[in-house]
Amino acid sequence: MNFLDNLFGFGRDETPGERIFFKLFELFVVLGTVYLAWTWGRYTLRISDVVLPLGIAQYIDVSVFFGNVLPLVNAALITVLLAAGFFRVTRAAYLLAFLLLHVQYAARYSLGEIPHSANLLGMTLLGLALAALFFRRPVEVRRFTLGFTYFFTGLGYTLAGVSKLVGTGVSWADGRHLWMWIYEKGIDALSKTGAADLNVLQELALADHTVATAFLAFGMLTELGAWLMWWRRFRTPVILAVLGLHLGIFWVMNIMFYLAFYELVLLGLPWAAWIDRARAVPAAGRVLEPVERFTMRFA
Amino acid sequence: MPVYRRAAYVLVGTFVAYGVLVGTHLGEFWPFSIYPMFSQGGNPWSRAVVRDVTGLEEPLSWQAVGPEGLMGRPFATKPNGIDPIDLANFVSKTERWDADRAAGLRRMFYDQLEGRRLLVLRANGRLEADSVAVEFVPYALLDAEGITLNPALPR
Repeated sequence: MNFLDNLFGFGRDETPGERIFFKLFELFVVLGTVYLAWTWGRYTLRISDVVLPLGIAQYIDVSVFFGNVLPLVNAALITVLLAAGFFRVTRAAYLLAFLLLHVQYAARYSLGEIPHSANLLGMTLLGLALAALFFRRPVEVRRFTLGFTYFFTGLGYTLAGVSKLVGTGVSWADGRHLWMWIYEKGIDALSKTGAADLNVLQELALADHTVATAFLAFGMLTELGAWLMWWRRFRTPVILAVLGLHLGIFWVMNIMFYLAFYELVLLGLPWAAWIDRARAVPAAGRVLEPVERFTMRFA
Repeated sequence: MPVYRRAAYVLVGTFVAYGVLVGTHLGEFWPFSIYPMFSQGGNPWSRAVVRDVTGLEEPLSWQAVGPEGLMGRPFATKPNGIDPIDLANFVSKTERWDADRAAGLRRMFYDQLEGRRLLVLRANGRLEADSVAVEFVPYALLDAEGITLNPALPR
């Protein structure tokens, strides 16, 4: 019970700040998903061939999405369903949006790339979908969605660390491996923009094997410890460490999962407490009042 | 049913579905994943770059070259609507370059070929003692007329 209480906290009183934060968080997930649906849909118009079928594409022929406007129709359907979920029109809306988004992903990523940039958002959407289906009281919907998201976020990063131990072992943190990835991502940058220059951190890692090893060791330890975010007391420091990991990956390897990064900023910092504090200030309270009414209307 | 028990059932049910789906689909079933990216340190890698060789007078060669031997000017994929990772995967994961696959590669550039000649190269990187060696192998020449593949590619 202690574990579940840390994760979901159904027994704790809910503050207005938590309610407002959750609806804004939900809005972020909805808008992020709309962005993905349309971005993936527009790119699918360029595709004519399945190189590597992912997910449902191993069972259905996603080439029906190629050479026509079906990806855009699917994006439009997802958008409508997300709006229906957000405004609580029907409880199944988020689940249907999630399933259609999976198909959109399978059509878009059929050329061999297996990106993970949208996994966190996808899991959160699934959390919203399951919360809407299995819980009646709004406070339970909110608490379950967040607890579900913390659980699978911690699990995901921990699995990434375990994959490295299984794939390579402790020697994964050898700095020469980072050199390989810096060059690899340098070629990606060259391909993407036509130019590739090393920044200070990359030069530092390439010049000193110990520095490169330290970077990788920090990354691996952060991933292996990510499951600690399941406990409320460790949540903020662990998520801040994960954010540090993402910044390091961005500066050293030019990879940034923007939507996941922003979502982690929302999940890791005490926004609800800050909103509660802001409500006590009359001017901010007046601004937040309509938001609070909206939150209650579409709880 | 008490709310904690219901939450536990849904959480465990999702966890089991997660495990079954990644366990039977090589670790990936979006949004479920075992996150294997970068799990194998030190392995050789392959990417792709594109060079604009429009108007180049010297004859094109299909031989592999180092970074200094790249012909033409850089062609930035992103501003031209092409995902460089897709391109790299398309080039490195294609085992047989039949007519469909060649047409698929050309389709990625379909709106970029008017008045242009583009050379697609595969970049191979590997660790050599304490340094990283990179070589570029020309794969395909694209223009408004069609596509010419490196004769050494498997058909």
